Amino acid sequence: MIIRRLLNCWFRKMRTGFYVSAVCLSAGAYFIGAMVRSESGPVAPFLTQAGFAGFLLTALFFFIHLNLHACHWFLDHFRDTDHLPTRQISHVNSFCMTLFLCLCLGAMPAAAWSLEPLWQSLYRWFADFGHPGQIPFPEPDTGTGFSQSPDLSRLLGEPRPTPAWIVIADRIFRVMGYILILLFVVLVCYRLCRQFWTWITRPRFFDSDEKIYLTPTWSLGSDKKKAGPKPAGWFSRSYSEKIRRRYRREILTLSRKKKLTLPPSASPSQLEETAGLNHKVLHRLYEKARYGPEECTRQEWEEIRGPGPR
Amino acid sequence: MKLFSAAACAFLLWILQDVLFHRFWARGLCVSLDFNCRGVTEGERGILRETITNAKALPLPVLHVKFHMGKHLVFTASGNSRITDHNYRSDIFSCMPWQKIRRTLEFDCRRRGYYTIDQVQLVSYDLFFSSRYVASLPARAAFYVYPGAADPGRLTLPFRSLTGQILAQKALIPDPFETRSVRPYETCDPYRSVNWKATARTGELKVNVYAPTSSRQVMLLLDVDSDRIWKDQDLTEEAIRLCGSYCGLLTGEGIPVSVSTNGIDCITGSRGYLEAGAGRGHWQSVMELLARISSDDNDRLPMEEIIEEMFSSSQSSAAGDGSGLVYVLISPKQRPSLALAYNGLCRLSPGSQWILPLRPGQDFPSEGFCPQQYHHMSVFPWEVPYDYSQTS
Amino acid sequence: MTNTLIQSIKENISRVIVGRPDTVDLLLTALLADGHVLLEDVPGTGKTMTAKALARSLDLEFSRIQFTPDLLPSDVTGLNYFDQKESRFVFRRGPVFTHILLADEINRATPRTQSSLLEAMEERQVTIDGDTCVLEPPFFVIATQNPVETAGTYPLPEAQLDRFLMEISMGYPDKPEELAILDRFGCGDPLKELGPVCRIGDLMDLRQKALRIYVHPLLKDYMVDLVQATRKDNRILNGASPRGTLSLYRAVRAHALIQGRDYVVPEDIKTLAVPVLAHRLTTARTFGLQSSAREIMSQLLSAVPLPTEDWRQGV
Repeated sequence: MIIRRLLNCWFRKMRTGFYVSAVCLSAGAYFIGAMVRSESGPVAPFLTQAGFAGFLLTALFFFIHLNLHACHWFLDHFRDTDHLPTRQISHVNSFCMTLFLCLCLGAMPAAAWSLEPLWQSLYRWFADFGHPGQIPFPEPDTGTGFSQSPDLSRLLGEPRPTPAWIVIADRIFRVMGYILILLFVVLVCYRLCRQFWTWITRPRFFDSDEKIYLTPTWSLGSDKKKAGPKPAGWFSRSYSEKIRRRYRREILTLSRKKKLTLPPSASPSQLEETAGLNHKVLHRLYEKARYGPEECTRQEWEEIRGPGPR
Repeated sequence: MKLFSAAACAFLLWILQDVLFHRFWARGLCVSLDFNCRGVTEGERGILRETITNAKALPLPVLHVKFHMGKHLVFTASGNSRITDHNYRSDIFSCMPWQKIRRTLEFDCRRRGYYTIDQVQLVSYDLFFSSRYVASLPARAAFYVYPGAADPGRLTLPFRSLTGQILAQKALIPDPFETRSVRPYETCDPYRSVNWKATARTGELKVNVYAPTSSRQVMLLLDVDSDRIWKDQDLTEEAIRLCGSYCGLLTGEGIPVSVSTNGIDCITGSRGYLEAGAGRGHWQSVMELLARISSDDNDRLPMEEIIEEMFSSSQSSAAGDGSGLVYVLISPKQRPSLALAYNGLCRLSPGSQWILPLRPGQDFPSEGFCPQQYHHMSVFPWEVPYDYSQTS
Repeated sequence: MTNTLIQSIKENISRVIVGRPDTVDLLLTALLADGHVLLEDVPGTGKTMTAKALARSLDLEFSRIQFTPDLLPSDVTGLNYFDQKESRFVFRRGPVFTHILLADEINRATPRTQSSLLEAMEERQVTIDGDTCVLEPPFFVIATQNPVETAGTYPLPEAQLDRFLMEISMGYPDKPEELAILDRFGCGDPLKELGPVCRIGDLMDLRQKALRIYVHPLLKDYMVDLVQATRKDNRILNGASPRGTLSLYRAVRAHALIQGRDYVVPEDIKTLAVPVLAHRLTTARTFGLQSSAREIMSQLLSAVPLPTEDWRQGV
């Protein structure tokens, strides 16, 4: 209870100063570690890592603070609202923030490490531009400084050439191994995600609202069912699909030129009238391609292949 | 430089969530408002159902659903409502991905009317409440609040008087399509009335005897206009309740009823009219018409003009004598011109009535209005006491 | 072959009826969809002429009944009468035993007489004194109503209006058409010279072909959405029933066949939605005037989305 009160008190204000200080501290530690040479022992890499970790944590906590502060403001503002689903809001917010923070936790270090070579290249380019060959880029710390392993191949003599079938078999089994491991990882991830989804969507009775979960279908548009499937790409062999693409392109091009909005309730004739398209053959073939029982033939496609009348 | 990359990545992620919400918050989002039934009687309770469907992978931490409806529908839990010219409501939802939420709200129906919810406004935020997104959706929800019941005890007298008159007229007009019996042929009987089957069986010409009709219709004339300086809304509402209750009694007896009023129908914008019908379905239609009568409209035809129009059309009808129709006028106006016009209409419709709602202490008959002079109608005063418990 | 036959029927009718190809198309659609038509029009616009021309072109029997307030059900369906010479009851068929029946001013007859015809229309049979007589197919009724005179009439109730596949109006001809009428009918009656171009068997084949016309699932979806929209609109007290949906489905297929296609397109639905569905809607009534169900239906056609392509995204 006391902890909750303290936390509420903490999140009620922005506390920007605290986070700025934390960022400065982390940045300071990082840059000190970067400037100090590795010959001085493990202190420098530790400072660098600590500074980076501190920065990461500060960013994460800052996002959490931003979110909770906004939630506090919202709940204070709408405290007297009836049917206010506070627990549901908390549940959804926790879900969203968990996903967001996991993404941050993965993306930020990944971005930092993956962009490092780019910064190095840029630094070298600028350095060469200004003072060629003078200032070397501080090499990144490669680890704790283990010595290299001794070369034992001299003791065993010259290696004999590996038979071809062993090489091929080795490659095949290696590929199979990678595939199996990948499949195993995918299966485990799928099972975990499913269990997670089942856990997330278990019945909860936060308030008097009735809540049900729908079967996910990966389609964002609500009217894709009405519009039907989009015509296939240029590689499609179906002549009906090609005719549909051609028709769609013609109408869209004409309507964009005239800056017209195409009403969703318009029939093909009305669309053509609106856009100003006068191509009877295309109209007939489009209707056949879109609503007919049979596919269009190559000859029909050839009829409209060239530029038609406008 | 790693710090800089990490900071840039954090900033981009913040931008990304804003962009994601901005682009996709309304996709797959369906909001519907509907009532649990077509309508209830005034004073009863109705239920509004709000259904939010978030058919996408993006959750919505906060979603405001704002709409407004008539101010006489008052929610029982009214923390979210502001009542001024309308009842403005703002509800808050929070949706997980692929989730459907349904909320039920109860409200009290304080006054008769036809209430609609035409539009719903949606407001949502991103994860950090830094951006606000607004959209409007059309909503087609409609709800009837039917007029309440008038005092059935007091309504019995005029109702029995009317039905007695209908029964008396029953035996006077034969119905050529309802056969009552068969009798021997007499000279000058029409060929069409010969009953050939009976003739074949008996060997002598027989003719049909037709039954009298009971197809008397009643027309209710409702006057919602007021000749007072200030409008007595409760008196008008009582007149509407009287009309509804009277219609219910008549249709319950199987007597066809038609309704004509100078009140304006809020859907069509014209004055209300319903053709004759009987049965529960017709009574439902009448109650819906009465619910739709707008009480605020000042642009109404005087009842006298409507009565004169009716008189002209009854004169030119095929029957020519306006028989078959009994009139019941419900009007609080004690105007001599109205009485004269109505008396003229009722000349060929014996048994017609005038139910006159008035306030306690109000003069009846008022100056210039003498019901005894008008022989073709019966006037029934209907006292409407003041109700001090209700606030406007 | 089908296209040629239908074209020849249309051309044959146009030798008598001037202009109005849409009305002729709608009548043929109703005939091929095995439905009946309600014509609401003022007198003298050529309703009888059209029905007769249709009957002659298709080599069908034609009858006409003028409905009056004293018309009895037996005047429509027929009756058993006692023949004294033969000393037995003999059945005399009424005018309903025909192929094309023109029921003029059906709203003048009493509800009881109206129902006798409407029963024959729905059941395609007539029951008199316990004996059932099946009406020979095709049985097509064109009923007319005069919208001007309302005094002394018995308007068809909604439940009976629902039995008509479509309600159409012929309207007045424009000036060139009226001049053509003067030229054509001034010197004789072209109806007398009209011959058949089609037999009953061909007509029944066309009906069977109409049943096999393809309707895309998206268009079926669209038709159902349209009908459901009539049930949700605030201005409509009672929307179209499932019978209305079925009628629209039959009608669009027949219309596609008349246009020479073996599949239905959205234009068929848009053309037929108002004639097929408008008269089935119950709108809020006003004194003296019918609320315009046709206007509301036209507005619904502009509001309900039609499946064509996804126009939202870029080319």
